[in-house]
Amino acid sequence: MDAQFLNRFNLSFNYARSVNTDQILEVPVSAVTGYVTQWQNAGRLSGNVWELTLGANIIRSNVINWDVNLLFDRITQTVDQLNREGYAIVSGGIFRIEEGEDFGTLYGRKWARTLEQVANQVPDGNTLEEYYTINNQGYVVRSETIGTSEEEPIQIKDEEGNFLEAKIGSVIPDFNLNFTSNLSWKNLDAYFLLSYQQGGQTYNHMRRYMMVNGVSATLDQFGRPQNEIKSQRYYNRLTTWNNEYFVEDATFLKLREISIGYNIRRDQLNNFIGLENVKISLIGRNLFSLTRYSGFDPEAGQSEGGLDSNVLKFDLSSYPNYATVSGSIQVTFQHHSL
Amino acid sequence: MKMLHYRFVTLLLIAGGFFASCEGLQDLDVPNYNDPNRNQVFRNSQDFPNLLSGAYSAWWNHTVGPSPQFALLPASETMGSGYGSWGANPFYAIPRESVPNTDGDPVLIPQASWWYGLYQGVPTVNDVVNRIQNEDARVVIDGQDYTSSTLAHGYLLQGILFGHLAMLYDKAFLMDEHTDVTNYGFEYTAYPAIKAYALSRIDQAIAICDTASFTDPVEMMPGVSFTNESLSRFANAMGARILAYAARSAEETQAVDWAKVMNYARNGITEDFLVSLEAGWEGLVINRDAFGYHQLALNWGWVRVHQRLLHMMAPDDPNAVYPWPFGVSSLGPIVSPDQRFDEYFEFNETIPWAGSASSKGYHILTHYSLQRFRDLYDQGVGSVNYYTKNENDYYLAEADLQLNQNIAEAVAIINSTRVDKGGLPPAEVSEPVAELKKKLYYERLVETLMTFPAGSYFDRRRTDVAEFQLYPGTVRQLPVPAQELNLHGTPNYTFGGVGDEI
Repeated sequence: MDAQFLNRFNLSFNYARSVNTDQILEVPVSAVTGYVTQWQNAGRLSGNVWELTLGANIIRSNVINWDVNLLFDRITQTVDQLNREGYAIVSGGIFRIEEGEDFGTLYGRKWARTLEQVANQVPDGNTLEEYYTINNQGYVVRSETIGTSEEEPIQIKDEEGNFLEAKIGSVIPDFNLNFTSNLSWKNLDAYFLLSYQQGGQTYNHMRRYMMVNGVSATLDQFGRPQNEIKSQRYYNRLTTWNNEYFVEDATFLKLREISIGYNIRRDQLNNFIGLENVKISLIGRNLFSLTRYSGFDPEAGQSEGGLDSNVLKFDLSSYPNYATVSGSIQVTFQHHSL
Repeated sequence: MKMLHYRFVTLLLIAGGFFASCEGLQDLDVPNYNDPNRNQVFRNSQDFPNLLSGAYSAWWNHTVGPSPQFALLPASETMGSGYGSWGANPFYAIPRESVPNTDGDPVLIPQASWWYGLYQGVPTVNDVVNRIQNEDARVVIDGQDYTSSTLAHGYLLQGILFGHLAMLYDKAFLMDEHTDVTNYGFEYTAYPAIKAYALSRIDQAIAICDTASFTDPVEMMPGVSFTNESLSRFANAMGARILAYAARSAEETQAVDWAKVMNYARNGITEDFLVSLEAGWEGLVINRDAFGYHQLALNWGWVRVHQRLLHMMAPDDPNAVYPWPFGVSSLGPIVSPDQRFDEYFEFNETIPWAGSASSKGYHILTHYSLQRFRDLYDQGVGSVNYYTKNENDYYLAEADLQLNQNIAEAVAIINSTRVDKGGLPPAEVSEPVAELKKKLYYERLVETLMTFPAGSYFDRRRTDVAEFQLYPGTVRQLPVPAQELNLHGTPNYTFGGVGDEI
């Protein structure tokens, strides 16, 4: 749906329902075949895309022109058919490809935050309330260890006593906003693109490795009040493979691009070798970002099994989007018909 | 006019290209020679020895590669990893934990490597055996009949592939040459039956070797071309190893058929079994990481000899204290009464994980790295000492002690390394059997360290010498990988942690 109003604004709404059949995926097969995986047309992926665009021509004159554009989008995808049992990928299985599962859901172990979650881990002869307590970080710990070097969080177990593998997050954002501004004044052009992602999470596996290696700022206890100091054993326990501790909010605001350009137009070029326009620009990309994500880049990801890093937000020393400053000379020739 | 001319030429070029393309369309339906079917692969029986060589490489690469050895060795406290690579952490964490059995990248999951790696060889071996045994295929190369030797290799491979599955997993899919893979029912067989099948196939291989006379037409492994006699000796040695190493505990070791072990060992190898270090045979984790655990141990400075092993060899030196004391980040050089200590191990001033020991656990710290076999990996050429004559003889000595017979023979075997290489006081025939077992396992842990890389894990798992056993709670067998379980809708399970070791 498109609408224009007040001769300066346009509004556009798009909804798309996509169904991708015969997705090519590298799926596990039984060892008895002599192989580990096979590329198969294994699944059908359904997606919903909502887009809302509001554009405005703020200033329009012979000398100056300023357009802005705001794009809202929300994208969800679900595996609604898989020609086989579900399976997991990345880091021993932090993502699951499973029928009915939202694409991008993170799975792993969880830490108990309420006493009810450890009711099945009370040794005989003890009571739940006496044996466990909740520490000042909100984790359940053994009461007798609190404030000592023995204190450590407790993982939730299932009814059979195995560590619970549960949903610990989702990499899918709640929504994205992209704001662009195009300003031209005489021969000058100025442009910027701001991107905002609300919600969605990234698994910061790199932080786990930094904690394991003792170089994470998390381990620095200097200056903390005595009752907030935790032992390295405590943090070592939190480095358990694939667990919710390393699921981080990936909300960000980024200045993706900013550029300024100067145009030398045809009339200024005096028909020099048939040139229409020469534009000299200075372009900066990814120069600024605001995020609470503790790694380099909340958009970091991994490619695996036919799925790309835009989906699998698993940060294992992935290169961040580079901050670059570059120059550009754009030459346009006059158009001649054949 | 000029414009019309250009358009005409352009149209002509497009049309020409179209017709030229159509002419080639008939060739699009071409056979894909890179995707042969079973009949094509197994049609030429002359290829069988090379196909079996490929199966040997599947077995070899995964049993010398980094996984699960990288997890099992720290679990056995003979070598350390001090890191989480290849899923090692849960195997040696203190207190011991259940090992995660998760779906995902099999390269990262210790229980996946042998499972997928060993099964890589099974279909080929079964097909070759089937073609010879049930379809009367003859292997004739340059006018000479190699059918017996090929069948002997086929049986031996069935034995060692399933023998290693029986060593490590609680159950597996038992498949032989009669199995219809396309309609397979995916029924699991518990490891005792897998072991029995493996040994029966090894016995069949030995029976052929002991009646036929042959020399292999090709090298089955780099630098290894068997005769019927050497194949029989190798098969016997593998029989002894599988029978002994399949035991999960001291109790199961007591129940081993030691007379059978003795028979295997008496007919086993009489010299070290060596395999050349060559490209493609360096070790794998499924289909990645082309290097062996040996290379990691020798080239990666942070793979170290475990403090528990150092303590065993220098029990009176305070620098060999075990467990490593909490809060201490460095100890001095160790003086051992065993002459092999400085020959096999090397002191390093720095400890790779000392700075972060408190988060990893002080139990991983050690100053010593492996020195033995270093030349091979420094130079990149030579032979891997995969199965030493000493190891074979130790099975014989152990059988003597378990059966309480031929004690003098057992003592002589112990002293052949204890005294001759270690310079330690000799074991005496008059000593109690329990004391001789202790000396024998000491020799095993020193002399077979890093020959068959996972060997010291299996030794600690099975030994009935209390002081040499696994740390309490250490996983004693691995579950079928979750990836396989999930394919068949089988409930997930795992092992490890006190009370759940097996």
